[in-house]
Amino acid sequence: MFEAHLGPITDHESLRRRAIDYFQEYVRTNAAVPHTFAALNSAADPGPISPEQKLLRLESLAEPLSKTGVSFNDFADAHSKSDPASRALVDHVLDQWNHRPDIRRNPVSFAAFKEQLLDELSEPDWPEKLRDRLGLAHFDCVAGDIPVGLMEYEVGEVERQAESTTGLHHRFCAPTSLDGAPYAQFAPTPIQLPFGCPMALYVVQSDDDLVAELLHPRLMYVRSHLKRVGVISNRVAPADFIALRNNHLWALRLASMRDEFGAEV
Amino acid sequence: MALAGSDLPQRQHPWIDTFLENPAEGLADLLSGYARIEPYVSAERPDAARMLFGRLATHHEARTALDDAVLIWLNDRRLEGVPALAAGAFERKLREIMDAFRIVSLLELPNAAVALRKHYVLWKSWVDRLAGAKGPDVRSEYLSTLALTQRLAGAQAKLNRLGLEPCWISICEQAGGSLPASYLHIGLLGLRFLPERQDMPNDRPWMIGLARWATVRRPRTDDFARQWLALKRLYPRTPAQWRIVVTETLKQRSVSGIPIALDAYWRGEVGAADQPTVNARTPKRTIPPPSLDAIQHILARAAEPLRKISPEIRRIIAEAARYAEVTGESHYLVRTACNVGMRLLESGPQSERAGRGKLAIELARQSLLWQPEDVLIWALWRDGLEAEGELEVAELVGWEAVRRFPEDPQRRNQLALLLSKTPARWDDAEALLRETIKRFPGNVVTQNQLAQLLARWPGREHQAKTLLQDILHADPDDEVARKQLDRLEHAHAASAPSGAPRPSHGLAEALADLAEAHKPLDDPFLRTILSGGRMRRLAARIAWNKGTANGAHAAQAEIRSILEENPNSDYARYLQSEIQGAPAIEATLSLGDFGAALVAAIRQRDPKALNAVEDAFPDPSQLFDMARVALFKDVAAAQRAAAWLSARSVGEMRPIVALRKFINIRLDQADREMTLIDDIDAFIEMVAANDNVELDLIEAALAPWDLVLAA
Repeated sequence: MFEAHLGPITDHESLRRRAIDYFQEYVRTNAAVPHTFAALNSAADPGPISPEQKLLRLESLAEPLSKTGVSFNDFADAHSKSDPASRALVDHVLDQWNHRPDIRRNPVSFAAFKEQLLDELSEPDWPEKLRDRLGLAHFDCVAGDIPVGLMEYEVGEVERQAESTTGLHHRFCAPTSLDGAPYAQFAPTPIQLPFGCPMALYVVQSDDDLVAELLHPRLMYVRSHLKRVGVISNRVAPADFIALRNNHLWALRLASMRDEFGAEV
Repeated sequence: MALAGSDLPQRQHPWIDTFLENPAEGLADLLSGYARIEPYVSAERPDAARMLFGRLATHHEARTALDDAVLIWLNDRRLEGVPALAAGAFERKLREIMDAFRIVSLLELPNAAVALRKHYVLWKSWVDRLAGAKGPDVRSEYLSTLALTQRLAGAQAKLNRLGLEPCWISICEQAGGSLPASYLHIGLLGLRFLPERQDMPNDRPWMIGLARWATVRRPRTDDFARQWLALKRLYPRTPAQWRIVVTETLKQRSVSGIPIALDAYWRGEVGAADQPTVNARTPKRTIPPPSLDAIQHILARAAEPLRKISPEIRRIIAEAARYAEVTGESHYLVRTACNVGMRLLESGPQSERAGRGKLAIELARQSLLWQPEDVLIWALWRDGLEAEGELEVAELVGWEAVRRFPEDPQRRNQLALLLSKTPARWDDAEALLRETIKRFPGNVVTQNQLAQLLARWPGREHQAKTLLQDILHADPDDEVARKQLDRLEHAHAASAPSGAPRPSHGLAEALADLAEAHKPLDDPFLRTILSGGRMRRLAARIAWNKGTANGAHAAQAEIRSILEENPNSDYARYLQSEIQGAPAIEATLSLGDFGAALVAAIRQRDPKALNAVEDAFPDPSQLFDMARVALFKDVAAAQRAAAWLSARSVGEMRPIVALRKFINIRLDQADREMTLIDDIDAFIEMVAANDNVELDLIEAALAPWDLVLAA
């Protein structure tokens, strides 16, 4: 399908643009099932996953809070309390985030397994730690702090919600280079690993630093999913991109036991 | 949480230089995802824009260039109307449009914010059309952009500070009806972020919006409670303050129909149910309504020289406007403005007529911002313009009133009266009156008015006599007709007008008028009205000149000129289909053209076509039910329609208000009144047999849904 969409490619730039077109029109779509979860991407299906496992997502709250007219401090305060009005306020924001067409949500969600992120979660600066480990380079507070929410849910919840969505061939899959626009931060994972591994924003030293990541259809959030709220207020520490990339590649080779996988830059 | 940390300004991203080389191309690349903006490729486009431009100083050349480029890009898309693209590319383009709107609010781009607000009617007709074409909801993004930028726009340009308030209230009322339920939050957001009003607590507007939603949509108590508690959490108040505010909100005339259970819940939740409202201490910040004595006094002085009474009139109106701003209750302002304005026009010497007209226009325009659905204000505006000598503008205001209130024969009669004051326009006056008689057969006022016109028209007195005799034959007690006939029979000769009427004022002449009217207007309020009035006048002329090739050619030229300014006007596109012939319904639906598609489906009398239109535009359902009764004698639709007609009208949109009134007129004409709806078979027969119902459906559907005239 991707190849059919490409048409004649004359140079690297035209390939890049057609790949962006493909992502925008066939993956980032609400009008049809994203190709990510269609039969043509069944090779990325990781197979059965135990339903009780906890998944995590770090979500930017900037747009949901702005569009609901709620300040981060008010929201964080309401989240920390359990009186009816506080609960109603948190529900109010989540409900609008789920349903308002003017609040953006990618129909394809990246998620990581909680048990692999316990160290980061135990840190006081957990938002930045998670950002760095999950390779979320675009959570860059260069223009101001970024409010974030830690969303936690079980694999089974995604499965159950997906049951009501028609046309899905699979509910989880490993990310491929076609599930996003061409991006230096994305590194493909060998097929021996049934999941993706985001490239951290720091130079990894071993394959223990890799974290498993999957894609699933967007989940409707409820209050119990929002475990924490926080703020990213420190920029990403500068890193040597070549070392960052090459060490990530070596970690992937170790984890997949494929020494020939990929090429260093 | 601080925006843009203390280390601003940051070093700019290298892509900014690329952008500055060609801002139009740079913006297009950013929106389409082609821009090389590592490491922000995975960010949503507006977030990426914030990281690229948000770190720059407010007046940095790149931010200024972005402000201009976004507006130009959006305006180009607006002029394109609905993108003709395949499904995936179409959805992507609509997302790009949404992202461009979002960039305006996220980066607080001043020029674009002002333009989006100032030309609300043009933008809104586009996003409404896109909403009809299916895909990402661009309209929701446009509206939330307006909500979030209204304070910014108000600070940048001379705009009506509270101009969007009726829009937000209407959105609250229609959320869950003709608009998606999630729009309630956009309406409430708009009310919460209205510019601050002196002496008015900032919780009042959104509480009125919430109450209006509850009144019209009648939600379950737990749904209402969820909305209320969430917003209440954001506005720390003492229990006593909440008691007062809730009690005062529920006193508003516009929420008198709120369900009893919700009223009880709300009062109970704040503890007002246990405490009689008479004991509630009036807040110091509340002001009293305008003094009735002062109003009566100025009415009594209306004939005094204008220079003596105008300061007092303006003071009274300012006081009423202030009361409306503080309480949200505009009744006093509108009634005072209408009464004083009309009295002004009726009084005083001829030498002051233009000045009095000018003041009446001022009062009418101020009132229309608050209650654009009040027909008396429209009459005041039109008469004020006539008094001022602006006959062409007065006529177009009259036509726009006919377009907005098609069910009201008075709008047509009064316009005909205005036309009949100029002999050169007697042809149009006669055509309009004859059309009105056909549309409202029982309206004797129109028949008498036509007789009056014919009696003044040299050589047509005998037609006037015949008409008056017919009126008296039907109703021998009609005193107006009797007196007219007596005068006519005893007159030696009709006093000839100063000039013989010129031949029919056809489309060619209309084009000359239009050239004048097309002068660029920097007044979006007036432009909205003139554009609507021109279109309605053109619709009338198309109907009156049907079959004339020359007329069709001229009309096409006129429509082209209207569509050049606003290619998304539903009414203009309907007119285009009237002249060129309607394209296939599927094609009109894919372009979001509700008016043209509905009219074509009705004229084709094709149930499948009607179903297709309803699938694309499910609201308002009453329109489709009545169409099925009229066209196909559909019993189930008739039962639904009868139930709707029996229920009280609360917060219905203008087209549905018009349709309800039209059908009631038809029921009255059938001399069966409302009892008829208890007999479904008779109801169906009456509707199906009445040729006017088809036009009722069309005129109601094409009456502007959006009452906001300008923001």
